[in-house]
Parts: sequence; C-alpha cells; structure tokens
Amino acid sequence: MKLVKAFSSGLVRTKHSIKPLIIIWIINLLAISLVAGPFRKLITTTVGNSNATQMIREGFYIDFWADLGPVVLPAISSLATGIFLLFAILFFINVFFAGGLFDSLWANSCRYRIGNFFKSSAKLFFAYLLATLLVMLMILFFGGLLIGVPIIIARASEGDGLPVIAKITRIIFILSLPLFLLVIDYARVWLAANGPAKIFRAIGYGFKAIFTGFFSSYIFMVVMIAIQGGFVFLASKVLNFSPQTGGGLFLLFLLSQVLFFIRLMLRAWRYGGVTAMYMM
Amino acid sequence: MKRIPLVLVLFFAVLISDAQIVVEKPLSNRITGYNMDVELDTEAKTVSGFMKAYWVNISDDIVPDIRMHMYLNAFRSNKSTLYSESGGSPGSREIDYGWVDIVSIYDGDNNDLFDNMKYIQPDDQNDDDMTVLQVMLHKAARPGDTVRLNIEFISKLPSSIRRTGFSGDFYFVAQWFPKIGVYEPAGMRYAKVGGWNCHQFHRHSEFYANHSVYDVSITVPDEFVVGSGGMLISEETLEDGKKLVVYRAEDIVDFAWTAWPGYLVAEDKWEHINIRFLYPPEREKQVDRQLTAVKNALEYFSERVGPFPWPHLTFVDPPTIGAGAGGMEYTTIFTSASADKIPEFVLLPEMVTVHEFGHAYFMGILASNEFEDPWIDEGMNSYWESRIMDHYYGPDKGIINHKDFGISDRSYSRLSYVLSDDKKVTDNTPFSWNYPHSTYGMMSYQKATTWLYTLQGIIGEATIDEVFKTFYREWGFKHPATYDFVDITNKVVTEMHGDRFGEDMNWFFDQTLYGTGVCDYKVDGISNRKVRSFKGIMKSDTGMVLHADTTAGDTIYHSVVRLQRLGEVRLPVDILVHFESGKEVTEQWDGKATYKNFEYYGPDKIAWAAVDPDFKITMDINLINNSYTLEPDKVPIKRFVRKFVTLMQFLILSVTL
Repeated sequence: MKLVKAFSSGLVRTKHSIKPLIIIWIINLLAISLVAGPFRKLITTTVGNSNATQMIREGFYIDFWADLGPVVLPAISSLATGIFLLFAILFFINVFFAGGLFDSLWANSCRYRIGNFFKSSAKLFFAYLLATLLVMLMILFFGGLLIGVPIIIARASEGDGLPVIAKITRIIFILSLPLFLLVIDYARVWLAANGPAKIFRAIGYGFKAIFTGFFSSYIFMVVMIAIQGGFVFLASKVLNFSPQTGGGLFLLFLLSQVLFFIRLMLRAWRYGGVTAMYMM
Repeated sequence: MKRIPLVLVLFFAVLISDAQIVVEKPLSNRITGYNMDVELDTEAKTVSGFMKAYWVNISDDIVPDIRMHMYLNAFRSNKSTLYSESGGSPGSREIDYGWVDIVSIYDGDNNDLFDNMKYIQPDDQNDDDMTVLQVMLHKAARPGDTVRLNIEFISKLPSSIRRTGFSGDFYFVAQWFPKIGVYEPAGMRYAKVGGWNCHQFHRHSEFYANHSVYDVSITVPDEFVVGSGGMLISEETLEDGKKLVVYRAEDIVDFAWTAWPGYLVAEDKWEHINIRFLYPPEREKQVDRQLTAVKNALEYFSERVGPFPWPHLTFVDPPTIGAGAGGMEYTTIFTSASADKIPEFVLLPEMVTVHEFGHAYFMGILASNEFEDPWIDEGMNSYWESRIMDHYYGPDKGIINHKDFGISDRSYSRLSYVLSDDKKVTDNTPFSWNYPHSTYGMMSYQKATTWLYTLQGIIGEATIDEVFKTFYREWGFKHPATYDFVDITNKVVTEMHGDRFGEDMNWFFDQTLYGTGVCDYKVDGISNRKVRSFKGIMKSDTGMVLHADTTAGDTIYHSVVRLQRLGEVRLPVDILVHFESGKEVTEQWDGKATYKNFEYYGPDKIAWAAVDPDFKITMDINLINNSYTLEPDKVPIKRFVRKFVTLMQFLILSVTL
C-alpha cells in the first residue's frame, strides 16, 4: 500500500512541478547551445560550399573531420575542454535546480510560485552540492572496493577462483546502487523540509530512512530505475534514426526535446515518490 | 685472376648447405649458412653454444675480412647507438643488460682468429657501440672462395624486451648470434666500390642480410613450448628435465625463436603451408581472429604479389609480460600484438598480424636494406597491410569496425601523413637514423603508403599489382634498392599503357618518393551567367536603330568551374562536373598549372563540381576543398550537432544523481 501510494503521490507531485521542470529543460538546452551553436557555425563556415558533407552522410568518416584544417582542428581539441567545462556547468546547474525541484515536490501544489523555486534552489545549493558530492564519493569508493580490488587481486594471482568472486562483488555493487540513490534522495528531502544547515545529519537520515522501510524503499527505487533505464533505451533507439532532410531533422530535434522532458519528469517522479515516502 | 663462374659457385653453395629439406629447390643463392647447437640457461638468461658458419665470396674482389652483426651488444650499455638514438638504458641491474661474446673463433683451416677481431662503427663512429665486428681473415678470400668459421659464443639476453630478450620465463630470442653482413660488390645497389654493408644496430632498423640456410639445435627445459622460424625436424627428451629441438630453415634472412612454458598452440593449414600459432591462455578467444587474419594475408599476397614459398609459418602473440616482443618480423616467424581483452571491433591484433606477416615479402623475400631504404621495408608493407585490412574487413573499417563508425587502414595512414606538421621536412630517401624531426615513422610508413595509394589511383589497381608481381619475380631472394622499384614501375607501366603517362613515371617519383612537396587541389568556385542575346544600336539605311538578336534565346548560360593547385605536387586529376539537369561531364586536367578553368555554354547550369571525385589522389592533403556546390548540404552537420545536444542532455541527468 505504501509502495502504491509512493508511486501515485510521486506522479501527482510531478504534475504539480511542471513549471520548474520546464525551467530546468530550457536552462539545460540554453547552456548546451552555448557550445553547440558556435561549434556548428565553425564547421559550417569551414566547410563552406564544399560537397564534403556527403562524406559524413552515412556516418562517421574520419578524413572529413581531419581535413577540416588548421583552424578547426585546434578548435575541435578545444571542444574537448569546452565539453568538460560545459559538463561541469551543467552539473552545477542541475544540482542547483534540484533544490527548487525538491521544494516544489514537497509543496505539492499547483499554485507553487516560480519565485519560490529559485529561492529554494539558491538556499539549498551548497547543501545539495555537498551531499551529492559525498554520495558520489561513496559510490566511487564502494565501486573501487567491490570492482577494482578483486580485479587487481585477480591479475596478481594465477588461480582461477578470484574472477568468480569478482563477478559476485560486481553484482553486489550493482544491487547496492539503488541504496545510494535512496540515501541522496532522502537526504535532499530532509534538507528541503528542515533547512540546509545540517548536511551530515541529512545524509544520516538518508541511511536511517532506508532501513526503517527497506523493502518498500528499495523496490520503489529499483522499479524507478528500471522504468528510467527502459525509457532511455527506447529513446536511444528512436533518436538513432538519421533523417536525410532538414525538415526531418527538425522534427527529430523536437522529438528529442519531448523525450528529454519526459526523462526529466521520470526523474521528478522518483524524487516525488521518495518525498511521499518521507512524509508517510 | 681467373673468375669462377657464378653457376659453379652457387652449385658449391648448395652442396655445402646440404640437401633440400624445407623447399623443393633453393630459392636464393645461399652464400651464407649457419649450423648452430645452443642451450638456453634459464638461470643466467643466456643462450650459448657453437656455430659453424660459411660465406661464399661471389664477387670479383679479394676480401680480407668478414663483418658480423653482434646486435645483442646494443644492450651492453646505455651508450650504444641504439640507446644513444632512443634514450634510456637497458636497466639498473646486471641481469637487465644484454650482450653477445665470442669465446673462440677459428677458420676452416683451424687458424685462430680471436686476436683478429675488432669492433667497428661504420655508421656513427660511436666507440661505445659494439654491434659490428670485423674479423680479419688469416688469408683473404679470393673470388669463389668459401670462408668457414667455427665460433663458440655466449649471448646474454636483455631483460626489458625491445624486440629481443626475456621477461620472467618468457623468452624471445632474436638478433642473438654473430651474423655475417652482406658483401656488396661494386655496382650492387648503391655500392661504387666493393665492400661490406654491415650497419650498426639502430633504433629503427635491424635487417639486411643474405638469404641463408639455418640448422639450429636448441636445448631448453622440458616444460618450455618452443617456436621458431625453422621447420621442426626433431624433438627429443634429454636427461635432467631438458629437451632438444632441431630446426631447419632455408632461404631466410634471420633466425629467431621463442620459448615460454605458458604458450598454447593452435595449428591450421592454408594450401601447402602449415601454420602454427603460439598464444597465451588469456587470449584463447582471439585465436580464430588471428588465424583468419594470417590466412587473409596469405591469400591476398599470393594472388597479387607472389607465392609464400615456405611450407611452414609460425606466429606468436606474446603474453602481456613479453609485450615488448610484439610486432616484430623474422620472415617465417613473426609476432603479433594484442591485449587480453580487446573488443572485436578494434582490429589491432589483425592489423599487426597482417603487417608483420607482410614483412615476409618486404624484407624477407625482397630483401631490401632496411637501414638504407626503410620505405621499401615499411612503406610497401604498410601499403599492402592497408589494402588487405580494407579489403577483408570493409573499405571504411580496416582498423575500427564498429557498427556505428569505422576507420579504414588507408585513412589511418593518410591522416598520419596529412596531419603531420613535418610532412615537407624531407623525402623518402634518408637512411633510417637520418630522418629529421623524428619523422622516420611518418615518412617511411605513412607517407610511402599514401603515395603508393596515389600511384595506384593514377595507374590503376591492375597495373600496380603487375608492378609488384614483376618486382617479386625479378627481385625475389635478392636485394632490391629504391631505383629497382622505380625501374620496374617504369617498365610495367610502359608495357601496359604505352606512353599514356609519358615516357616513364619518373615525374611521379621525383615529386613523391624523391620530393618533399604536398599535393592539394581545390575547386575554387563555380559560376553560371546568362548569355545575353545582342541588343544595341546599329547603323542602318535609315540611320541608327536599336537592333535585337532574336536567333539566340536568353536561356544560354556561360558556366565556369574554377580550379586551383595549392600544393607543389602536380598530378593528373579527373574533374566531375554535375549540371542541374543531372548531366555529368568528366574532364581530365594534367594538374600542372596553378589554376585552370573549364567553361561550358548551354541551357544547363552547373550544380556542383569535384576534383578527383573517386579519391584516387590519396596524398591530397585536404579533401574538403575538393568540391564546390551551389547548394551545400548542411544536414549532416546539423545531425551531428543534434546528436551532441541530446547526448549531453541525457548524460548530465545520469551523473547528477
């Protein structure tokens, strides 16, 4: 019953948070466009009136990219730096807006004001950033322990018993991933409800909340991950389509944005469900 | 001095090399031969034993000395020419160093030659280099004489494997025995006077030797799996946990072998050739890939260059501990290179296997001098490697064969050349250690591959195949030089095409092989202007009147394709002109002028034009400017950017938890 309520309440809360989700979508798109736009312009200008784009019509063709010339090649290598910076900026943006999103999900009102969304985002930013980084570190540490160490031991040893252990530890790590997501989600709900001052207490609460309602929390998270994973898989198949005309490409772009927005809603559904479980 | 006929000398050489065992009849003149009995000491990391060697003086010269490669001495110190060129050191412990030492040396008449030995440095006068040994003979060798040497030697293998050495209980034993150099009489290759061509061991080159017969007996611990460039004659278990393996190899330029207890062995057969593949257990899944690759190479070379004449072929995928031995070639044994886990779409193991096998032809059969003509060895071989990889694994997928993207072997070579900042630094003729600005690899492998592809584009695939077939027939089991290949090309092209490409192909080689320029053709633009019918004031009987020509309509266009040659290299190119009606015209341009216009009059406008539309001129350094269109297709770029945007959007959500 708790599980059903978490799913349904999460869905309702997501519906009430449509406006914040639209803002998150637009900001993400604008940020990426700041890099993608000039990059497109650079290539288009360099290619000029050449027919060479036919080379990449059917897919990746390395001679095309390499022949773009002495102006574009350094730009492409700078692009790698640009992508890294963009990635970092997007990371901060999404952590920033996670505060507002959790606040709107907590409020669960269709009259939720956009001003509150930005206010909460700013208020909770550093707490959310620290909590996110801490949980990411935990995942990395656990991943290193459960995946890296057995591989190192297996390489150092000549016996054939350790690879089995390595496989088992890998499965344990995969099974533990939903727990880490629950910890960060519960911690963020706690911070949205109690203010940003006590980050470690929020994370502690995250761990505590898992074990007080382990099965419902764990099953909820596994189902949400499965839904999101399945959706991303389907979306990747749809978006892999390669239209040959400008019109088709524009339609595919629109479709990609719709799919991305659905992906954002699925994420909000997860947050909303955890918020609902927190309140039960 | 009375000259002994070469036929008699060769007959004698064959006699002293014993009966035919491996191949039906001698493939080479076999002026050198080796009979060795050695033992591997796994504690001391040495190979020691006795060697009987002979050399026949087939020149008209009286030769006072013998010169030998002592290449393991390259690992004797950090001051050897090898380490001077590459930097670094053989290691910090005594066990890390390698060397070869002659314990005793006698000639066929039992004269002690030990005190007649002297290390010389013909390439760089580096006194610390001991990789070439000169032995003054007790009696100078007259034309037709056979010099026999009985040598006891000990070879200490180096630890950090650079082509040769040991790692743990893995051994790859190459360049390990005193090997006789090549005596070049005046007129042979570049020799103006007779003399030994025996270079020091260099960072980038190590091969130039006579085709020889090898009878080699090797004693190793019983648990070792052994592979070599010879045909296994016998294997016998000895006392003390050892075994004796006996090999014979005929008409090869070097003898290498490997031993490791961990090898697994896969055997296969292609036509008359028994293939033996040694690999580490972790790479069991790659066995089919490797065997398929080597059979592909055998098939392609046999059809397009010439037969692989030996009935045996061994190749090795060294384990990770012996990775330094990977990617080496010793004609009938070679090493591939791989990793324990390598995705199927990454064709690196196949590429290395095809490449190293190819050296059986370029350096093995066509035994060029790698020190002096490195492009023949590596460039020709890389060209054939690219053709084979792109032929069997897909035209655009010879190196990376992923379902979503691929990279061809030809592109890899072309881009290594095109993207180099030093592509105009030198031509393809320096000795291997003289390439400036570290351009040895790019020049001798990739530039040569690129211009060979260009030559193929100009004269056609069938013609270049015939060039190589002729090269194989005329120079197989001899020592061709660069100009021999040029001469063969000129001959074949003239025979097949008359004077279609001019008197000869020297104009091509002068610009590519012997030249430093780059090639870049560009379609500068196209234009379509309406041809106006005449309209003007003309004098008539009634005075000045306005006259309009009504015989020509206003729908005639004067269309122009403007071409430019941006590089120094001048090659004939095709121009494809596409009109709006769909009509296409192919033009030929000799490519010599700095610019060229093609003009058309008619009702049709030009839509686009492309220079070298079939991508025959592989060495064109920029393909983007090879075409011009009035309606550029931006969709592929937009599609690429769209994918980038979506990927970033979805990716960022995954990492922000």
